[in-house]
Amino acid sequence: MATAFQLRLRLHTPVILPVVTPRLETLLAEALRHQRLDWTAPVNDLPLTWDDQRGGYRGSQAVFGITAQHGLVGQVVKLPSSVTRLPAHAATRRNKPIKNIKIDGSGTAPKLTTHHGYLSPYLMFYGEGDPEECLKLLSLIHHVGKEHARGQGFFTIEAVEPDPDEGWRMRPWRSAKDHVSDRYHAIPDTLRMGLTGTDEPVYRPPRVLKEVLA
Amino acid sequence: MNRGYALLHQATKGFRAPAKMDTYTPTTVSCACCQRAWEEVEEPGLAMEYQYSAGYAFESVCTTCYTPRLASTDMLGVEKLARGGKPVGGKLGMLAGSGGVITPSGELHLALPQGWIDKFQGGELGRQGRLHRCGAMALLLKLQGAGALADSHQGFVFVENWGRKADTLMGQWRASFSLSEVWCLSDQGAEPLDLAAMIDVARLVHAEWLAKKAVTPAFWRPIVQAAQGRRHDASLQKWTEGLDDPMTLLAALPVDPHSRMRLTPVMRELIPLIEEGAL
Repeated sequence: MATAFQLRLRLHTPVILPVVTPRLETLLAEALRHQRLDWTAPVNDLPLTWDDQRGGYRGSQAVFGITAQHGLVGQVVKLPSSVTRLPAHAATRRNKPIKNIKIDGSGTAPKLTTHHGYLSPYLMFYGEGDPEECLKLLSLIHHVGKEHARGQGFFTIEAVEPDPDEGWRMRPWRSAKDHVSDRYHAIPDTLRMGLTGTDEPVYRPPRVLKEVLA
Repeated sequence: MNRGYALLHQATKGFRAPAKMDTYTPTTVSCACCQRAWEEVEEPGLAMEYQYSAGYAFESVCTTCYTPRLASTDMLGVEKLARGGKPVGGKLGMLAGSGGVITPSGELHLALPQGWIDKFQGGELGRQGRLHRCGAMALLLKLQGAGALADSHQGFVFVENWGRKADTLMGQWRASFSLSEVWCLSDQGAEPLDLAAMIDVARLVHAEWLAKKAVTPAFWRPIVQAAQGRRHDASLQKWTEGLDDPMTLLAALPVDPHSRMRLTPVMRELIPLIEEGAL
């Protein structure tokens, strides 16, 4: 029996949001791939309800949970740039000897890339499905967001509670009417609805959502 | 993500005159600037060679990412006369301090100071009336008011500052789909801004006769400090006491704390527009 739930995570380090805010389904799929040690096989057995009518999993995007004492704080996180260019192939072109290799910053000191981090007491996901199974899977991963391998977005599981307000609607849908209308204004975008597939016109919540917890 | 690059490619066709495009088939996996695979870029399998400076490695970049480095006397106009009187065209990547907007239909509009408008008036963009003497944000709102950004699913591109570092600008190039989340592109990277909320805030402070105060950092300090994690309850209390309707203003503020940190500079752009009656 699928139940609607709110998953509350305690946030310890700032989350650096990617362009598309992480969703519960992508986080669970990542955990499932960790469990199977297979990052190529398609994931079809998430413990979330698939909404056939709307064409997506009933799992929300990340929502920042704030309290009366602690709000949502923006932090500037500066990290050394990762070297994404390997110019060795370029060095051999046209028989021109290479003297310097350009890495962002300089040859000796990598530049610090500035990221926008978000820190709040809690990070929440809403979903509909099997909360116990979701908890088991989420216990396999400890970070969320960009630069997760460098300690950003570290979380621990705080609580799972029933959610009567259909919070799982806070994710991209094909129609603007499928959103919870009083919490935010849906933004048009072009994203894929599931874990695989092609991008299509959707309406999504703003990247940064916050909710006051008692 | 590709939509932003597609719009730039469509808007800058005139910059890529065939004679200037010394393309070759790349041997790398992806464009060195935008990291897109060669089959994903607008002109698949065609690369331009880029070298930071003499002695540095050669990099293969896609034709879209190379566009801000291309000089065009036809499109932009004559930037300067080289030795011997040879005209050198203007480049998009050299318009430091200026911005621009690409509309959903793929039209490039530039926000320039008067000196550059005079200089580039003879170019194709100048003749078509796409050079505007205003700030980048004012240009965006002017085009929005004229209905040029109406087709929201097609997206638009907002360049806050063309800057001097074309590789950083092009590496994070992306389209925006709503005024509630405008990606401000510059040579420092891409940053989202809730412009719709900012306009609401500007209207509210103007209605409360606080327009002069709201363009100073001192007015927004309690809000900005709270967004930075340095909340000072006494200052916030004093701030709310100075307003007629503080709850409405607090509710109108953007949710994103990084947008709140930009309140002063954005108000400096928006409040004059409200005073002129343009918003």
